Amino acid sequence: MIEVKEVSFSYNGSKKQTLSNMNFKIENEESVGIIGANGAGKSTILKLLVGLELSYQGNIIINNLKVEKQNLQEIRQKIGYVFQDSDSQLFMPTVYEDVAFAPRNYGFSKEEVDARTIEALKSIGIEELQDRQIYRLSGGEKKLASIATVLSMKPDILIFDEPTIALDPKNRRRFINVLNSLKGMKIVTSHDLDLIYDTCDRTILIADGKIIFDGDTKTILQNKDLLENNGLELPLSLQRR
Amino acid sequence: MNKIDNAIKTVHHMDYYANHNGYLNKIHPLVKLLITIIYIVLLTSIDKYNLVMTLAMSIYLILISIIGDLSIKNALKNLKVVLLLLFILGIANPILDRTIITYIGIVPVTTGMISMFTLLLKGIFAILASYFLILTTSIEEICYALKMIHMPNILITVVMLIYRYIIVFLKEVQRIWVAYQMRAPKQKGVHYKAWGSLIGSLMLRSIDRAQVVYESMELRGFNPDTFFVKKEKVDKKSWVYFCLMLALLIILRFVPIFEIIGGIFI
Ligand SMILES: Nc1ncnc2c1ncn2[C@@H]1O[C@H](COP(=O)(O)OP(=O)(O)OP(=O)(O)O)[C@@H](O)[C@H]1O
Ligand SMILES: [Mg+2]
Repeated sequence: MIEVKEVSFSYNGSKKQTLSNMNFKIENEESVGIIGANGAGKSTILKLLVGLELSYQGNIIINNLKVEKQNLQEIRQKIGYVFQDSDSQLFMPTVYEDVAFAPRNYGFSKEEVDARTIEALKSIGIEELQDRQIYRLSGGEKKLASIATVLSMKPDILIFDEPTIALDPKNRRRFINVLNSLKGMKIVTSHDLDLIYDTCDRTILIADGKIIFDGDTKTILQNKDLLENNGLELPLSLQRR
Repeated sequence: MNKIDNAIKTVHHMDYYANHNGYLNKIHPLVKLLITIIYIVLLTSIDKYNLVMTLAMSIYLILISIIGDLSIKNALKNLKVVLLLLFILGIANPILDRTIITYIGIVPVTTGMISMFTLLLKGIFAILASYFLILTTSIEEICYALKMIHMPNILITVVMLIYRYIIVFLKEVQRIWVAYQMRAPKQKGVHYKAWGSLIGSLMLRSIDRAQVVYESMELRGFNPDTFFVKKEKVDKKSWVYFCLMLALLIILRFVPIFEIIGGIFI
């Protein structure tokens, strides 16, 4: 379970408060969408959850552990995080090596590492890319590869920052199916409200670092006025009604 | 920019080679590391006027290139910038040291020229030896080996990260260059007024990105204390390789083989 209690945060050296007084709880089997305009603070809250920024006020508790330096290793073992920018995520020479990186670090046997890697590659449909060098991948292929790098960890909590941003319709659909088939907690940020609609039961809308709405996905995604006031539009699948 | 593209390709190519399944790739990384270090130590200990013995040390490189199926020609091509630097360093010798020892035809040969050649060869050979090590051993394996000879973790992590960041850095150069070119298409090269801000943003962006890459490694369980530890023992094949290579190096360094071979024919 993730608990965020009265969390405020500003980036080093910036006067503006990026997040102010945030409060929410996410249960273990929930899938939650976080939406909001550019610069609303979506990526920032995700970074706080995995402890990439530690100088926040308030409390963030993950599985009864506070997010702070001495707990990071234990917390991160349970979380898979896909960055908004896949170039930051991939650093090994080949796709296979990159996907195998995490399970190797967790000390699994060679066979287990191999099995997890292949399974992750297959589930996302890129097993034929496994020997390709990272720098020869297209933008969308990189995105798929970075999704696979966390699937091989089999974490309890999956966090995706703009996962479908570079994907074509077919791969986007595939990703949605994979996401829906996975168990555990899932947190997704996106401007792709149809994606949120298809994968998340609950949605948190943030604007200027504050929570504007937190509740049922259908309710918020049908609320044209609320979305438009916060720089978003109705999802396509709901527009024709 | 083509040159940057090529540089990125070269680094990736080396990485790719290092993960390949050649004969040398299967030798234990510690053995390869030690042999390379011993080679470089023995090589640099040769007297600076002993051109013949320096030349003899090339036999090791030729042998490695044959067993490992590596091309010396390609290696020299990839390393040409480094070689140019070596040449500039070596050029001082013949200028400073002009004692004439013999003539080839009417051209005088000075001790400075001899020492320049030995220095150049030593430099080239040492670089080739390290390059062949990198080509046949992945950076992770080199790091395991460094750990086994008790290098401190912090240094090993730095070695590994520098290697990873070279690519990050080159890619950043490429991105900025392309972004600049797209918006200044008539410009040849970079306008002098733009250099300052380009380099500034290059630095900031590379540092930023290096930071994120490190974070991404940490998020996937990277921990220098455990990452570089590998329980693989040195196997029989690697032991044999080690002994044979060590013997060869000692012979090359301490037995004047070229003179002996010459002696047979005279
Ligand atoms: N490293 C940083 N240092 C300072 N300010 C930052 C940094 N990263 C982001 N910000 C600022 O914090 C605010 C929130 O950024 P964040 O990346 O969380 O937005 P976002 O909701 O993810 O936006 P997007 O939809 O564009 O991805 C923005 O105003 C941004 O300018
Ligand atoms: Mg973002």
